[in-house]
Amino acid sequence: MKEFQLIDEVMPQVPPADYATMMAARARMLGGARRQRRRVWPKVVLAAAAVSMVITGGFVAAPLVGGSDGSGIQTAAVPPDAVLAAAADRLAAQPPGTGAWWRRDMTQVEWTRTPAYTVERRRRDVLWLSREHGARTQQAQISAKPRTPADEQAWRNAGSPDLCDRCEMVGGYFTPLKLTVSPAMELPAEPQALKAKLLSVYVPQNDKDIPEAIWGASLKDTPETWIWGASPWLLLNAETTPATRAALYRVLAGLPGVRVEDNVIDIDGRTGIALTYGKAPTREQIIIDRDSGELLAIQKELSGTGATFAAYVVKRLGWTDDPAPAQSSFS
Amino acid sequence: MTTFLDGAVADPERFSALFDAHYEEIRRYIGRRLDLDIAEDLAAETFLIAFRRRDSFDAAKGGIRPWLYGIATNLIGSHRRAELRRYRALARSEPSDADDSHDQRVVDRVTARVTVQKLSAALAGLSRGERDVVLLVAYGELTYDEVAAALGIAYGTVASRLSRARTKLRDALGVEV
Repeated sequence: MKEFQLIDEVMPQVPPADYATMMAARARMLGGARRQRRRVWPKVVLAAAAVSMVITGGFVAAPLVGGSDGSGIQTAAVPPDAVLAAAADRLAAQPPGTGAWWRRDMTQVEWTRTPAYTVERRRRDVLWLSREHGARTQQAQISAKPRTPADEQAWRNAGSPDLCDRCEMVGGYFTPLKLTVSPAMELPAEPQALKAKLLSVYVPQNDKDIPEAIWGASLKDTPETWIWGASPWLLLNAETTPATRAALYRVLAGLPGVRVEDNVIDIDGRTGIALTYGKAPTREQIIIDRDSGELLAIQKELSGTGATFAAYVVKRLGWTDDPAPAQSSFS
Repeated sequence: MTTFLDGAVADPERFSALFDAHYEEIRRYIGRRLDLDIAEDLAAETFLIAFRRRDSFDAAKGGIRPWLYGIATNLIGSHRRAELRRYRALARSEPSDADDSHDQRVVDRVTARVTVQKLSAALAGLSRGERDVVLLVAYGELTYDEVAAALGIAYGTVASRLSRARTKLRDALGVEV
């Protein structure tokens, strides 16, 4: 008999940890230097909160995507891979969400270089998806203006020509994956399984049905880099679960040529952890909130004239009970 | 066993393996001393502290488990009143009709029926230091050496605390523990 076995035998046991709790603890650890002590609420308050959740039913407010301001985070000791792993852990621990519609609200930004100046165009781009009601889109011009004061002066010198000759920016809402066969929500949440699934629906590079990719060049390479090329659709245009999105981050981080970089700033000034492919001046980045693991932005830089930079800046993403518009709109 | 981590704790990747190997037992240890909502928080805090201090981990001073149990025990110490409240509440709880049910196990040691109620009251009667060594042995199955390493005290202190605790428990329960 072991020592004090009586105590071990008699005193109440502890139920095993649920997966989400363990993942949250793991993420808190890997989040590292940041101390975020959870307040221990009295049971009465917890019970009241549980009741109010029942009353409010399935309402889930899609969170506003914020990014980190860096003020509360010490990053020096934590390598980028660990930051990404922690962010993915936190994202994976999120429930799939409920609501009638899955909404992705983002701003498209594009810089176009003319011989004399560069124009920045912005469009609001909202996608609504529902298994019962199909898809709706809302696209509207936000602005078109010379990018910098120097560009503005050059534009005036050129006679202030119309800046909106390319205002209808790319916005394909179809996917290169056969997700109608396997709904996006049912994609695997385990990285290896997800990668295998994606590779199983790999579309040959010359298929005319492939729309121009956000990252067109990536599609014309190996199956693995094809996954990189397809990832914007999975992140921006498909109602993938948080767990699948987290798994996708891990798959992408393991692809040849993809590296993880910390403290990357998106075009709206939000700091995150980035998956980066290529190098400037041709660089593609998926920027992720280092706290929540939510997608902040997808950006690409190109060299030469024409479009030199494009960004998809996410404002909101997730299931909601907000009503979708009756019809799609484009302006 | 995580001896392969000795000396390599500073590596975050391998530290994740340490978490995976020991989270459940650390959570269980804390959860047997404190209410589960507090225990969940402290288990996460234990690994966060360990992760922050990973550079200072010294395998020569003891293994990974004593190190983690030591951090957890220190955190429990800051909730000493909550732990005592819990024992008192358990001591006041009504015995179940089914004495061998999950919450009401009983050990019949010839002369005494040791119940959760009696044992909780007895544990509340120990000093904090005595309770720490007893429960590290009972729940964590640490050796005396490991308890000494976990708490940063001498081997002799561990032995004397255990001796005193054993006497108190025997007096309270009427049976050797």
